[in-house]
Amino acid sequence: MSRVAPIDPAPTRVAMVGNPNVGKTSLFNRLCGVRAKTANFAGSTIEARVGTCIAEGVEMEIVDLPGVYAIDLELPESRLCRDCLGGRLAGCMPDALLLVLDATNLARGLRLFRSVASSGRPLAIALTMTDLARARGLSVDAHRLAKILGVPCAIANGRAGTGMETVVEAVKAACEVPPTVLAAGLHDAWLDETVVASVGGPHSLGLESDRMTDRLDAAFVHPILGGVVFLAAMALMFFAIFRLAEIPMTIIEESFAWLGATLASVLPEGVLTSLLVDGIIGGVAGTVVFLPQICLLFFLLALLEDTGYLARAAFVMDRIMCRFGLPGQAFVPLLSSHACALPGMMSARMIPDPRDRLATILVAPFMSCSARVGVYVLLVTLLFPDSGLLAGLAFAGCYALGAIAALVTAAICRKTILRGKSRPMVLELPPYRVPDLRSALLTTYDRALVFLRSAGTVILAICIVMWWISAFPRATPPEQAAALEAQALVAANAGDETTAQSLRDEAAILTNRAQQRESFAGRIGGAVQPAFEPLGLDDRLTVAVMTSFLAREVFRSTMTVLVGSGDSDDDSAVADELAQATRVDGTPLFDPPTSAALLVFYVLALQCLPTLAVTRRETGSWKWAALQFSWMSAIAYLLAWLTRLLVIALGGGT
Amino acid sequence: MSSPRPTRLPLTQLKRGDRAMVADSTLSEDDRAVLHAMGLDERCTFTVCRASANGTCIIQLEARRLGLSPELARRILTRPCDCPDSSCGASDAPTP
Repeated sequence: MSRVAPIDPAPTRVAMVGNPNVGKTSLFNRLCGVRAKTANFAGSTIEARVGTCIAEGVEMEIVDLPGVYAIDLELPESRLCRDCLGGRLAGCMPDALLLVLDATNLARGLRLFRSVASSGRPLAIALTMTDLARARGLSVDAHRLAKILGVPCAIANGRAGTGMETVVEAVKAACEVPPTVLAAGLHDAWLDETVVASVGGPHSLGLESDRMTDRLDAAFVHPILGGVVFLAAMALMFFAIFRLAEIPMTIIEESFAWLGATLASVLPEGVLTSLLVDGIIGGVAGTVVFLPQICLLFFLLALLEDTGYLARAAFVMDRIMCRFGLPGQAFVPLLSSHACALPGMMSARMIPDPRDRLATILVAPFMSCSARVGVYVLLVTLLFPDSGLLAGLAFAGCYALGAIAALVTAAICRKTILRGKSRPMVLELPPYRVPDLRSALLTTYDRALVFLRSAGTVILAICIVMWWISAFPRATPPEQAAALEAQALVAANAGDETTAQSLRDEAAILTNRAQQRESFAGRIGGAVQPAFEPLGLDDRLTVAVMTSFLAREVFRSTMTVLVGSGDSDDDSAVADELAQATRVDGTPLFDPPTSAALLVFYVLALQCLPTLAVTRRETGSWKWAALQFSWMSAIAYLLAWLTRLLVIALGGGT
Repeated sequence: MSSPRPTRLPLTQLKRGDRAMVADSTLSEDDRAVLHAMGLDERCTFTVCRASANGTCIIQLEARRLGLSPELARRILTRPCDCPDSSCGASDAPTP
């Protein structure tokens, strides 16, 4: 009797196993489409994708296990496959296995078959890359292979979407007969004979495609030319990300702003409205606005990876990155973090070694992201108001300082808390191919869902907490604000709406300022101000630093509220206003030592709550997020203090 | 008559186009297991596709290419051979 029943509440669970780069993901995407999600299993930091395939009147749950070269290796992905095949993975007991074999590299796939077949589970084979095999002069005989192996075998092409029905039929057929365990007799000679019998043997391999690959490799992995090509490719990619993401980002920002304004206008003024508008909508908007960048980054990375180029780029960059204990694959996540640390950290999933991946995630937020630019512009302008050259150098120095801090931290991590041998740098360089657009879109969709789930859960919860400590306790509006409101009323009654509005704005600034000061966040700022005294921060600057913990760009708006006449879009006007601000003793608030210290602090400090939430998500533990925050804050504080001392020693102020 | 080829050479000393088999290595058991699983073991013949001065190299096994770091490549001892292709394990197998 068939174990694959018509659609019912308990679909057959099929675990998909295979070597890396055999077209497994394309096949999975074809079988499941958008009915898939990324899943983490208890006790494992490696994730797999789980999807539902409905075809031929049957429903199957397909688990796309990570690509492995062998299941008995002491590597996390091999352990996950081993546990899954052995039925030891909670929530993932497979009813059948689908082994994906690359027809151009059958010998290696058959080695995996030997271990997989020994699990004793129903097994079917999907033979991929048959188009490439035939182009190389190999014959492909799936029937003969099925006969030799004793399991159903189907030819499939995930990119073209052909052979999907036969794959489903093969799985159904595998479930209908008791599995035959052949592994004991599968010695090396058998393996050789099987390769020859199934694909004609390697003597048939053509060389035409190798010549083209040789030519491309000569450019892409050349020590100098390869680096130039890589930098050009990355520059193009980030240019595209910044330019193309600009429009949807503006639309998202304006949509959330419109939603907030609409709710604020229709709901009665009060705590609930403030929670909805300032806490939930404001907080989530600040994170979701990065969605277009994230989607574009993952889409372009998926395309690049599919062409076979990304593996070459990692190979080239490894020579530089290995000096800091990082693999070549870490370069793309670190570079991506210059746009935003969130996609950068998420793209670290392409790094196979868990220690390397963790080190990359921990240091990625050091890279200067686009949210820092506003703060840099403000502080650099305050520091060098009359010298464009020095301001430019300081601006570039911020980026250099962030990158150096990241690489040094990575080296320290790999020699201390993440000590251990990295994987030997041996990379499979897949053949150059036209990328699979559909697969790239599905990967992007999956990454976007992961990001939105994070924004909708952890980040939302943290936003609400941050709103609460900024909004409570409610401060009584100062008398001056009440007086201004009264004057505004008089002006409005007299028909002078312009003056009335100006007075109301002034009153709102005074009220906001009082709220900032009296809130829990403000009080915490006041309480910790002595700790920031060595950096030259008074109570207002300390409050600005504390409130910008949610997102560093808040520093600018908080400062304009605390010392200026309200938030403004004009950078130079804000800088002029802040340059005039004074301390209690009449000295400038933003003197050179303080401005320099603040600049260094914002380059190095982790003032971004969504980043912490993503670190927790990607590492599976708050422990790493806490360590990341503590380390970056400590380094930021220490170097900011030293910078202040240095500027004072150089005669830059007191 | 060509001079006899040395019996064992580090992978880093092979030139582009050279064919060889893995003779031995000074790698750890774990690293050796990874390479074996990737298809690079004593039974396979490979072709050097690219050998740069800094020691990185790209070899071809069957239809696949592997890029190896200098640290890894110099610890793999090879036996150069005149095998006709980059076959893996099937050099002695009968043709169908």
